Amino acid sequence: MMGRPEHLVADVLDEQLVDATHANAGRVDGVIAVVRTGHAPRIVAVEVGAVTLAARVSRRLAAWIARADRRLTGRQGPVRIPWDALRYRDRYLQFDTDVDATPINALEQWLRDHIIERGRK
Amino acid sequence: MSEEREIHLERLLGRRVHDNQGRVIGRIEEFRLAVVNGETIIAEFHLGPDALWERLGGAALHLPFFRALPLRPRRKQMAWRDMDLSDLSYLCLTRDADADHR
Amino acid sequence: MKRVLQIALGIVTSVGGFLEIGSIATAAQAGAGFGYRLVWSIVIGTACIAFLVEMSGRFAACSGRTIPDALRERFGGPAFLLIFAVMLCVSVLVLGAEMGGVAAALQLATGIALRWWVVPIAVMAWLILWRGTFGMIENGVSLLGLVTVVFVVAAIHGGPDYGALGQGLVPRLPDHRPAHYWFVAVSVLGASISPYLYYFYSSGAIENKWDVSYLGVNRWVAGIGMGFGGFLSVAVLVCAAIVLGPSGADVQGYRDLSRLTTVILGRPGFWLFVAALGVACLGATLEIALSLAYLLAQGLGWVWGEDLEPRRSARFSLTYTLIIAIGAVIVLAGADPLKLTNISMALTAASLPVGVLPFLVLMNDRAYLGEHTNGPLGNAVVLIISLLAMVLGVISIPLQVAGS
Repeated sequence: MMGRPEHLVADVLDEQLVDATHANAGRVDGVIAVVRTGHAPRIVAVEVGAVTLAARVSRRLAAWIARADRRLTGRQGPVRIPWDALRYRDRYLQFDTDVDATPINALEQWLRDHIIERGRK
Repeated sequence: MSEEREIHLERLLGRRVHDNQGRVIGRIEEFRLAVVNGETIIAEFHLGPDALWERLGGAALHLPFFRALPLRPRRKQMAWRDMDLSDLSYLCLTRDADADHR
Repeated sequence: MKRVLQIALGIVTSVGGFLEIGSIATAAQAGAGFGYRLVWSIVIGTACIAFLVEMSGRFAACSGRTIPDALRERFGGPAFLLIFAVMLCVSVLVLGAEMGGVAAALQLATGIALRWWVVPIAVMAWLILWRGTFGMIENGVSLLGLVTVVFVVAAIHGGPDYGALGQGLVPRLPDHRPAHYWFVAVSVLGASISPYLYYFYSSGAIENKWDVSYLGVNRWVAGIGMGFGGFLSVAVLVCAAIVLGPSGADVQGYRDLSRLTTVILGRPGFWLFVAALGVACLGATLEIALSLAYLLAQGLGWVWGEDLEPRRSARFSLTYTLIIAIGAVIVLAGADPLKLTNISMALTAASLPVGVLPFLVLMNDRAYLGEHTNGPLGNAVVLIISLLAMVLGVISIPLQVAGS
């Protein structure tokens, strides 16, 4: 990651994510670290998605959302972005691909294709 | 070779941490990061009184008139090697850790 | 010159957009039940919302963020979800009341029962949001809302007791029906200090791309716009004191409300009231639906924007669609719109600290506002009034429910 966040909660968690075109791509809902005895925990990825956010409140709610998400979008779980793929900016974190090339906006795309576009026809 | 496990750091927020006598010394409210050999690590765990309700109410302590009140919450900064993360359902300090470290 | 025009437009749209069923109904009940004695509640409610709206605009202009954006970032996901849940529960009740208000206006105009109008109103509101732009909604509907000035005309024409009106500026204990007095006072506060208003305002400031150079515009718009808006609420109270006060009758339905201008101005007063009620409530319907959609979209990091085509902001667009549908269901379920109005306004007041306290913390954070953080006056006014509203709400709502 380029740029240096100093604190996880203040600088990373819940921050806005944007893609290469500066389009909104969700928020950092979770942060994954790898733990090994005798070594400091190492951050490897951030997670994006309602399931991850819900899990911070209630595991049951998260499981329900995960089932609904799988049925609608086919996603098999929260979306992870590798830590090294992120650039830290003052107001957001940015990754280098187009958000539509990732599963992050799968629900947005599903709603567009199955409800909005269908309504137009 | 020691085993690697993945953990969700956001789920540790607000969780109680115990000292070697089983007393609660605080809740995890922040993680200080550092870059070592090109990797971002957790250098410190910051403990304080904050859980969700306390965080919302504690935030009010940042309002100017409340700052005058003697309600300063105590915070501890524990280095990564002082935290035992082997059992996430019971967070505690390692045997050698000093609970009074600030 | 451009800034002067912007200030003028902002003031005009603030005035036009100020009244809605909550402020009309609660001010009318205050006037009908207690004459001029509750003018003070409108004044302090207006002062509080003026401060909040100014803060909201200043926050957006200085930080480049909306309030929900910063709430999520500063307080975290679970806290944001809690704030959203409280706002959603209270605001959909208010939305139901507003949609009921539009339906009531059409019922008064046509004689066709209110419930037959709910679905067409929901569709119309949805179409305006789906097809319209932010400017069209903010300016167009609010300019139409200037018809609410009919209350000022009626109030002056009705010959109020200016002495008693002046005395009403000072808070006094009630001389009769104390539980109802405080309940109405709380409802007036809730109608004036609706969180959706200043949340909407911060999103609007971002949609209009405000920066630090707009701080002056913001101050004028918030202060004078909200001030004149409060003046309209006082006018409603005065009309009610003149028309309904002498008989001591409570406001029982929309026909009672229509008498406020009809008795004083005759038949034209009736039609102007119908227009005022319909447009004011429609404007509030659009604002609440958008405000909740902004809150969710910004808090969860979605693509959002009223100026975007719905296909480019599907979750945002479908959120306000769903919210309008919920509002319609609430009215169709048979909720009495005026009772719904009263209770939703009181609940708004009782839940104010949930929305206001975190916002106040943000307004004192230099990381967002630099040198433009709150002064002690703004902090004190908002904090004291919000806490007062909450205490009054918590005490008076159960008393009112028990009494009725």
